[in-house]
Amino acid sequence: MNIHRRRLRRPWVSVTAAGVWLLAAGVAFGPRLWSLAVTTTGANQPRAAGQIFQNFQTKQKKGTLPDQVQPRITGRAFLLGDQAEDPGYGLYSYVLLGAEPTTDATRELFTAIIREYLALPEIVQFQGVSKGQLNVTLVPLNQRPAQVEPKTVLEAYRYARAQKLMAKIPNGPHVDGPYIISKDVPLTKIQGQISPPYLYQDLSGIDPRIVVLWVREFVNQSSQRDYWRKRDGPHAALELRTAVASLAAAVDTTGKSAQQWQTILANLLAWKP
Amino acid sequence: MFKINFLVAFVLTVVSYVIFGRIQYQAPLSAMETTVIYAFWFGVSAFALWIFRRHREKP
Repeated sequence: MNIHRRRLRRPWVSVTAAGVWLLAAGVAFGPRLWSLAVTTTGANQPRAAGQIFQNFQTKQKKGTLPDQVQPRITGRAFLLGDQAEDPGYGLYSYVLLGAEPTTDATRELFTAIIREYLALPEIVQFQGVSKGQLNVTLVPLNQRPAQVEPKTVLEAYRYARAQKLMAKIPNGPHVDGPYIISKDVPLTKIQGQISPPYLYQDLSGIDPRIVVLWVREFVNQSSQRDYWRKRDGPHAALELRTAVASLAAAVDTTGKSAQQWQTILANLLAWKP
Repeated sequence: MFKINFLVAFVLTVVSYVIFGRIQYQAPLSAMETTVIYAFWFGVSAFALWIFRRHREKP
């Protein structure tokens, strides 16, 4: 019986191992082989990158021609005091924080999002680019800090204005944050709540280490013509990663707690009155 | 039996690490996140093996 079982087990192991290694090889070398094949066969010769984007968009929206061929470029600007947004941009995005951070965890998360925000190029650097092609990402501040750093920007953050803007987002209340909202018109000009389409990302409670991934996804998604549409694959991977990061944080903390309990129990067992 | 589970989980974890490393290269998986993924794949492989053996043992 045992021999019979072993014989049965062998093909399963071999097939699984072969499949897994094929998958690994595909992931590791697939894109490079594909780009090599495209380059070798000259499949990309007649078309420029913009045309590929245009064709892709045309395929997505049957029967309609895209009104914007090039992808949107994301930059940043501060929204100082009660100043209104500059008109004419293709997309207006806002990094909104619910309330002043009072705990270390919230402060760490808010600092991480502001750090990633400051990593974006300033919008004034895109001279010569049509405003309609730009996605201006705004952060409401009381005043411009003398030194632009995550800490000083967070200290100058204008929470009251952020809350006013958040009140315009449906399905509230939005009291945590950070939130990233994008709309093709300035939120300040909208009376009442905003109506679809708009881009909405809720980064509340995520691990600060992966804020960079959410901001990257925001930049990618907002560069699309249909900026409100989530990119299914990358978004699913991001959600999965967020869940894994939360579980890892939980395991880490639980492990430390278990170690403390081990120490307490060991001390109790060794204790002699 | 458990040797196979450890091996399969190890290989699948490596594959997961590579996939995440390629699509989210800005923040590679940490050691603790990799441990969570390893535990997940170990559970999946143990369950799959149990199903397989149960299926084969039935006359």
